[in-house]
Amino acid sequence: MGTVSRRTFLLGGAAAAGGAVVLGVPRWASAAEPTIRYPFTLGVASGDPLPDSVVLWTRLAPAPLNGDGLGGMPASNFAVAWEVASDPAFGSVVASGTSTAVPANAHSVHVVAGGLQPGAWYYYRFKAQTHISPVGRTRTAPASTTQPSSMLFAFASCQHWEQGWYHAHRFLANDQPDLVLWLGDYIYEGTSSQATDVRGYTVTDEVDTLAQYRQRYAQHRTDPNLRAAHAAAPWAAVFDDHEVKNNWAGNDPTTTSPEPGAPPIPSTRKAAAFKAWWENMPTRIPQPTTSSIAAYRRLQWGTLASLHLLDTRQYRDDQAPDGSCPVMRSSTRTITGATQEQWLLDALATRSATWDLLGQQVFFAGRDTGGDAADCNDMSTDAWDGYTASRQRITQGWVNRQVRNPVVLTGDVHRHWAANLHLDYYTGGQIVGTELVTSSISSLGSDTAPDLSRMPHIRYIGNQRGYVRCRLTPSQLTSEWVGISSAFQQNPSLVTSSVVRRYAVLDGQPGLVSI
Amino acid sequence: MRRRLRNTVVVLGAVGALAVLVPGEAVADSSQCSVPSSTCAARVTFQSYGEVFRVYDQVGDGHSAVLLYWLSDGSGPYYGWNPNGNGTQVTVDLDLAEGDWVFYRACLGEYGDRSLVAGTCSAGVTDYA
Repeated sequence: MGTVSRRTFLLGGAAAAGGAVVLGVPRWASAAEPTIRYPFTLGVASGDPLPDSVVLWTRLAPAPLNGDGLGGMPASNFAVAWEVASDPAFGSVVASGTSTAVPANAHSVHVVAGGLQPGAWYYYRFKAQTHISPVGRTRTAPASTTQPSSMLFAFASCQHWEQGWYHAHRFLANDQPDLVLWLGDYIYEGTSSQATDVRGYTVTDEVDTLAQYRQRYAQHRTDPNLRAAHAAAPWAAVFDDHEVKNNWAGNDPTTTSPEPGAPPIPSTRKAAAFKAWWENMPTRIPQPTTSSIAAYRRLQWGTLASLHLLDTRQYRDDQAPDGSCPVMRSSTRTITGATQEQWLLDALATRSATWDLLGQQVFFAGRDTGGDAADCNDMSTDAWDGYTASRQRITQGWVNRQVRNPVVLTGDVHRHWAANLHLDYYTGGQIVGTELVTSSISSLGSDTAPDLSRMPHIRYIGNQRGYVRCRLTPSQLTSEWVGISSAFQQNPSLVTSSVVRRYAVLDGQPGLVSI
Repeated sequence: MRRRLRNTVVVLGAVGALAVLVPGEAVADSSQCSVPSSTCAARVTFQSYGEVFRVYDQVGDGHSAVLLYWLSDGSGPYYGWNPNGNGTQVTVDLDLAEGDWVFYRACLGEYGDRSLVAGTCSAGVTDYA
């Protein structure tokens, strides 16, 4: 890995660009580029770290809220230089290059910055014309054969723009985690209810076109706390339902529907939603070109942790009718699809890390608030309860494969939860895993407490907005549920965070331990 | 509010007429009309110098002219109401950092309950301090 000086970054593009052309246009830029205003309004981000590389992201948008979703960019290609340094002053640049931001991708940039050292922190930034982006902080994963002494990660989900301020992101950024897992509902597609909420969408109708999805992502990124969280650490992001349409299911356009019996979502809408998600996420998954996207994937944190990022939306069967035990418990149903299920089970069989973390979208443990096995009316048909055979195959699969430390990480439900996992949630018995569930960053949640005596495997419910912070070591996972004092108060000086619950999971001993 | 010297602005009209505007003069850098734009019952202009909105009521239709704007800190919409009737204007002064963006719309509304008239908001435009 060579070292490139700051001077090289600033001046090195001149030769490639054929020298200076027009006063006011950077020497390395194309002469064809129209001059633009400051374009880094949406910040910078990084994600999907490997031992030798990380994805760097930005999107040029001098007018981020423009209704055409193009961020005020001219319909031209733009050169975007990037550099990675080992210090925040960029005195020691270790990688650099130039990418092309194109109109077809809303001038988003995904750079795989390679040749990096494993387990190292870096700083990065972009440059377009004379404009220099904010500096982001990122890191690589540890080498695959090493076991790091610890890993600090956070996971979060559900950031309804109108329903609250993103203070939780500010506290998450201040934690400076090694990795942030985003478990879905980055945007909400629905109509505006700004009259009663803390702020409002500019597109007030339900979004269903590429321009509208793009614009909604851009509006979210105008939040400084969200930008700070992206700039603080690499993210590993998955989507849930609201990135497309509430409760959508399945990859087959003939069966996809937002609710049982509802008309299918047009494949063009899914394609638009996936493209906009990809354009706005710091991910290394391939750009989607159709109404499907290859979203499930795996990250490795040395031999300490395998992180399996699941997609429980694209390949699931349609939701069962409410209360339909026969459908919910049908042995043929799946929430992951057969291919992804086998992909997960094969990986679990390798036992390549001390901890196997399943980052996914919807509630995994049984959550029958009525507690009556003969009555399915008190369960969510959208969660794994609606696909019990799928859950059974995966849970039994990790038991059969003697997976040492399976931990499921979940979002979606707008409250903090913690649960022990069983093969049967009505008879209980042996604890075979652990589920940690994060509340929402801002989305409103119920504060009606269910009767936990009917669900003894569920150990905790919290009603605050927030996120979950985890310290992982070879011997223990320490999980802290962080709550904020208010998502309705805009003034940051009046909002505090606190650890509202703390549990440990001990190596080789599935289940929650109070600490 | 921060004030800056604006360079002399040269405006070339459609027929080639040349006008020279002096520094500090009120200049609308962008504007929006409520829908339908053909009647432009509410007109909002933004002047980058000093970051000033002007909200004009241009039709005696019983509705107020309304400005909606969003700021780069992720907040909005903020409202600027002109309930004073046809032929009046209301000024809304902002204090933005130089180069900062603002996105705004012109709409019609009912001042009594502070509601917007459905379907009257312009598409919106971004301008800069």
